[in-house]
Amino acid sequence: MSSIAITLDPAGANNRVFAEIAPNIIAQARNGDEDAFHVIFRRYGRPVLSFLHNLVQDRNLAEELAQETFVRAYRNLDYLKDETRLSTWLFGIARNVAREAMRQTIKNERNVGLDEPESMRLTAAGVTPDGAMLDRELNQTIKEALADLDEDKRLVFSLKIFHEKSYEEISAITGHSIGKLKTDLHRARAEMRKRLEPYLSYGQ
Amino acid sequence: MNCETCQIELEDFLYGELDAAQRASIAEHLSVCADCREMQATLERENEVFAAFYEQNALEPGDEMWQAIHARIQPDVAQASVKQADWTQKIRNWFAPLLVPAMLRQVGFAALLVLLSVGLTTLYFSSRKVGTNQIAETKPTPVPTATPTPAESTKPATPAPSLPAPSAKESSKSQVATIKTPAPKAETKPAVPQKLTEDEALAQQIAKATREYQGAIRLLERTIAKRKPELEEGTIKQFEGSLAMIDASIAASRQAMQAHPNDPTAARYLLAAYSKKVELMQEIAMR
Repeated sequence: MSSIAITLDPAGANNRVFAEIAPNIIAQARNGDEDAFHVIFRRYGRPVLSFLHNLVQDRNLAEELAQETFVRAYRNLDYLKDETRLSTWLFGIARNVAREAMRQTIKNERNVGLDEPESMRLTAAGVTPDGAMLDRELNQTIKEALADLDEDKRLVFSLKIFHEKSYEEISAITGHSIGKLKTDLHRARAEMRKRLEPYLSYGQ
Repeated sequence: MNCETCQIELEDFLYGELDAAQRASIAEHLSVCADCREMQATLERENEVFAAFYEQNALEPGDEMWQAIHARIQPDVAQASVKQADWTQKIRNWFAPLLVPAMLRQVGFAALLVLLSVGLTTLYFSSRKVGTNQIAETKPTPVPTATPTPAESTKPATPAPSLPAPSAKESSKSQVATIKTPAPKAETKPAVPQKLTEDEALAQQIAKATREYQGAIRLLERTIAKRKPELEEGTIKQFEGSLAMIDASIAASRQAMQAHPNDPTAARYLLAAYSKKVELMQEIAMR
């Protein structure tokens, strides 16, 4: 599977905070204050993990990659120039971590002779929705439609639609021009629309 | 604007990515075009569905993920704390010959930190007082302030009772504060052009003193942790009870500081509480 192997420890209490990260927290984390870094993790763990899950479509792999993202973030906090862009910076690291893992996975699968064009497939071990807000079939259709988007389209779709990033931020995360992002997003939406059309018509 | 242009820009319109002129142009077109309004409704409906999908499917990282991250960054954390401790180590080395017993060395260093912070704060408050007095002296008729602070002339050493419900306990703490950190004269206000700079400087001074107290407290915590097995259970209980009360005062002072950022009284309460905490901890550490 992934080149990154991380052992999980037993679970414990899980209290979340949703406040924005104050610059002094980042400064404290930079100085080695682990509690301050924990605040950052609690604030951005969910969006980063969900973003990675959108990209790789595999929960276990997404969790491994989220760990790797935060470890790298901690070790490289000194390189975060603009503290107001912490979120963008974290998504950028997550994106790089996911890319490396995907490349490695493709390489591994080629080595064992698997003939799958994409490592990012929808797995049975994916997320099970807790609520029933969306029709189960519609939920599954969106997952499949997302998995069928190519990497660039899925990336921009996730960042724009799910994480509400601006084009400027997405450009900083992906390195793509705003023109390309707009085109990819427009096409991604058109592809998604085709798949969702029957459900959306029923809803009207 | 025609429908083609509108539908190309409609997505960006909904994302809030257009400037005011573009937004106005789209809005104007939408007000007269039913087809484009229908497209807008479709996009909005899709956005709602995608938002619901995200909320339903977003993954929550479990605590085990943090534990794994914690385990991996532990060596970096340790290295950072060594770096951080470098400067304190240097000062400790200078004073080492004076503080021979290992246990007392930490306690002594904590006291030194407190002394430094108190000294700095005292100096600052004194200079501030002198500065404001000078301003007052240049004015033959003092201008009354719009919101006068409680009079301190009769009790110059007591912090102004403008904090949320100061109790008798807090009053006793305030005495500690006034012994070590002379109170600024609340009735005199700094000259308007200097106010911002002075407030900022005061905030910095308070933050610095706070950090130094916290540094001293950390050192003492380590010493007390080592000494704990030797101490009687009753003493520990008493110590922990007093500590909890002081910590509550610290929290209350912080809240008061946030509520009254321009009032130095709250800061004096905070420093007084820290001072009391250090005193108590020193007492236990050296027992």
